[in-house]
Amino acid sequence: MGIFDLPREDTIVAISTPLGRGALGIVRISGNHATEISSSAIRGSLDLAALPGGSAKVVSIDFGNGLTDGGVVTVWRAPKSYTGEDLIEFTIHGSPFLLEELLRRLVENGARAAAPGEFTLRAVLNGKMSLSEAGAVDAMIGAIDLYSAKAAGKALSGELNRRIERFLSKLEEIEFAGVAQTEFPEHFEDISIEKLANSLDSTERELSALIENARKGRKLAKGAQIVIAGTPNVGKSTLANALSGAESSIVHHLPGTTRDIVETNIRFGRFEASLVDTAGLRECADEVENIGVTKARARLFAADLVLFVIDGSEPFSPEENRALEAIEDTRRLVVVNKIDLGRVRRIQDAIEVSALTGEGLDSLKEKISASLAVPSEEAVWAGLWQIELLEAAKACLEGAREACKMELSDAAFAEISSAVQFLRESVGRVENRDIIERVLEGFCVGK
Amino acid sequence: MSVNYDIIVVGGGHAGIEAANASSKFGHKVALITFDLSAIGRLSCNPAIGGIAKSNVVREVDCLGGLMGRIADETAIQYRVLNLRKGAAVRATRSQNERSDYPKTALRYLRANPNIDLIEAEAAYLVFRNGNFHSVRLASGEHIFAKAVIIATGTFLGGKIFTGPLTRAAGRLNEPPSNLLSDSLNAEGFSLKRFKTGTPPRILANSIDFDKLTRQDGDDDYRPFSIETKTLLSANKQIPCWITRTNEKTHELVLNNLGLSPLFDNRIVGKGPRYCPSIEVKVIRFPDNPSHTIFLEPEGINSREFYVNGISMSLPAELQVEILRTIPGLTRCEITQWAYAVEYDCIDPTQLDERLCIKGIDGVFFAGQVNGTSGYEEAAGQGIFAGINASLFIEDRPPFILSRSESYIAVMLDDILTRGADEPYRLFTSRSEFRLKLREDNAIWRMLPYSERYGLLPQDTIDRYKRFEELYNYERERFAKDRIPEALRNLVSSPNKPTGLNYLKHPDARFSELVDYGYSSADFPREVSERLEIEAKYEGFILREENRAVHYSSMLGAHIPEGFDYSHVDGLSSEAKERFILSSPKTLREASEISGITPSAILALYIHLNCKKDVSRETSL
Repeated sequence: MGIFDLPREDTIVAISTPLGRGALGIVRISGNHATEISSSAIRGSLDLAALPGGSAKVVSIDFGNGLTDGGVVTVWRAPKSYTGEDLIEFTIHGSPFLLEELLRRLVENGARAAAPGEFTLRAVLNGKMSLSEAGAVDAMIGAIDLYSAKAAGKALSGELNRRIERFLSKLEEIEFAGVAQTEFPEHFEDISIEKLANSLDSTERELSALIENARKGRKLAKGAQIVIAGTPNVGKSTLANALSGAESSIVHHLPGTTRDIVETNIRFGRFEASLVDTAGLRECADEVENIGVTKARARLFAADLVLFVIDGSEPFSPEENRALEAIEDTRRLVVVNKIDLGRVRRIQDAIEVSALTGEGLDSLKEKISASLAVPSEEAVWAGLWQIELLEAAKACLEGAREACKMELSDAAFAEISSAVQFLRESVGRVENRDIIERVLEGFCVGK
Repeated sequence: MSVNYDIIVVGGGHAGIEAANASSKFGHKVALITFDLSAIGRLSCNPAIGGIAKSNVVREVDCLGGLMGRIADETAIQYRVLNLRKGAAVRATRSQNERSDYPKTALRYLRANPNIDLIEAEAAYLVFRNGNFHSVRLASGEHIFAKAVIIATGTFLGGKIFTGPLTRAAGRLNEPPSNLLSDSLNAEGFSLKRFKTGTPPRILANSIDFDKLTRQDGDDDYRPFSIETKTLLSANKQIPCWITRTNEKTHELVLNNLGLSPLFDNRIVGKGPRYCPSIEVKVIRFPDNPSHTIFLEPEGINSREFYVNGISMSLPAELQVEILRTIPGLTRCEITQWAYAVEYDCIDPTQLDERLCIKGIDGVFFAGQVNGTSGYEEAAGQGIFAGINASLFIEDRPPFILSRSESYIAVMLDDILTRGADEPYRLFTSRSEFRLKLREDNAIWRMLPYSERYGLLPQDTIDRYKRFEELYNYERERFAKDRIPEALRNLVSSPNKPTGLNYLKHPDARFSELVDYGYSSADFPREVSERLEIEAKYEGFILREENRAVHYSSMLGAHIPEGFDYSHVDGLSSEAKERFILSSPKTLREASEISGITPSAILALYIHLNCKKDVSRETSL
């Protein structure tokens, strides 16, 4: 049963602080009957129903098993609460036992234990936040560092939707002009295909930047993936161990030692990232090693940053060339290893290190930090479903550009209309009126 | 005159003509009841057929064996190709027609049809027995019996026309309304509403100063509406239209006299079409617009009259002359027919099922303007659809259903049947999410399977197009494989293979070049070569269009809670809400499978299920 199968009208309760001993713990209850159900867990004559939203009272809590303890109730009234419903928070001593007892007591009195995310779901359903903001709540709770918290915070404040809307309104203007000239050719000037192509170019660039920033926001939320790759026996595992300061990868002078993916967490300044050591890229007869190579290639595509390690004492191999070509410049750092062997090949923009002696490692770490330090002001967390819709819109704009090249303005405008639809969906907006209706309202047309 | 028929058609307008003609093709005996035989197929408004999206419907009707395309071609005095340079999908044809010949030609076709009897009378009552249709009672008291009836009364139900202070009961100028029938439908409990439309004045040709106007000539390179039309009207035989503009003086006169218009003294309550506003509405709604375009359309080759498109109104007659005379070229014009507004009853189309049959009473079909649409072409599309379905109904065969992805007729039907009509409904290309697929040029291929199934076109025509289709399929496959000659390859950029199809995608590609280099044959009929050319360009985009339609089907798993309150869902018609409440679907997928539910209704529901709007977002202690 999924979260969407749950009833919407009943009252839900959950322990909102982590289960573990703390000075204080919070039990939260939300729904139409939150007040009555809460009253049943309070001793004395306090009339909870009479308390306006915004009050907090010290109370004596009755756990129903002969046990009582002091606590604080905080009252929010619908719709001015997190969920948009009546919502009451019990702040009590943070013993897991007491928290569980209070939860049990409230369930006995008619509340239902909430499913994970159900409070936020209700907030969405009651119009307190958009779906994208709800996703961002999760991201905020899961924030691992300053940057991921900032990105989530932006989504939470509706920044993502604002950015999409800004962009969307430009595209809507183009769509609007297209419909006007198509449906009422005797009333509107034709838009030249060159002009259309030009305006598409700039809008597509903006959309790409938006998607890029949304991806960055997601990456920040889960920590960046740094993949160490290269042909066999260039010292990838030695480098991985040197960077993480742990002996996670087995190091051996025989090529093909690392066959699976080895992952460790590492911190660079304010970032958390996972460092992924992979099998050396080569074609070989060993099936197990081949599986490792396939996995390594898959990780390469998904990586935020690739440390491409080459052996400074060996010439470039065709395999290295191929692998390097497949990774965009912005996503890779070329690391020339084994400089301790003395015969260093000079490669532009490469960082020279010796994983064995530790020489150059500090400057490599700095470079990594700098590469990961995306302009965090631009990054904004987005739900995967939103990124998919943005990508779909982008594909439409690419289709529209293709149509312009073929001089088919009808196909271009069909693609633009679809892009507009995807973007509207990504901000949870459904247009009730047809585009044609808006054209009719804006202009005097006939025939 | 017999009194027993298979199908009765009430009304001889563009819907009635097609309904009667289509029914006759099934071998049914048809009675067409109309007030006045000479008014059959009368062009109530402008003397023109086709236009954006509309010409597409004319062709669909034609390819289903309908008459509109043939009558339009036979009576055309000018053709224009609209959106010529914007791509094949939005290209449209429009003809100017000889006003007096159009009804004569329509009457000739109907009279020549042995299965159709034309009855000049007023249909007064629908008679039901045991909840089924039984007969039509004429105003004379006589009964006409049939198994089904198609109501195609246009603007005649409860029709009222307005010119300044004068209000007359009429369906059209000088033609009586159909009030008894309207009362009869009301008495049966059908819900009726009032719509309004209008028509501009006609003026004398020799009172126009043509040297003050801009001339608009016809086009040479057009495709006739009908697949049966073999000869083209050369440009030098076509009659031009003329363009002029209103000015501030015109607008001032209108503004100063708004009080005399029935639109503003509560005499007209019906909603008018926004895409065709009267001059009164234009000056009020667009006060910053100093001038509106006026098209003068000839009423015929030898006619002494011009139709003044763009200035419909319901102001008093004497004022109409004054207003027109403020316009360049019309300063000494003489009016031959006053402009007027018409208000009429139409039924709420959401009461109809997917066959255009009224729900709950089998055998009563509605078609045309009475369903809340406007336009000759929209009416014809519904007429032929209702005619085919009434025929299938009395033969107890499964209904004829078209999908939005295969025809503009279906787009229109789906729109009005599920959303209803808030104003007279008109088709536009942007109403179709499959507009790249629904083109003028491929109407025959889209309709051919149905014409064949129901025998709507002559067998030799069907055979001919099936041969073309085979030839096309064969060639398409070859064009996808075979490499083109070296000399033409510069138009195909790598990594695309230099095939015929890829060559044709380039805007500078010419089919004739493929013929010159021996890649293709000069003997291909135009239908085949043109189809290869157009499909090559559009197939990628059409595929993308279809894939996007699939996108909407992937979100259909979402759950709808039990007892869900549909009343607050934005963007759902009351009809859609009712259907949802009746069927109480558990998932969006189930909801989407309810008959008559549109993708937009599903999207609206999906969005609503995911978030509400307009709630204070404040959280406060």
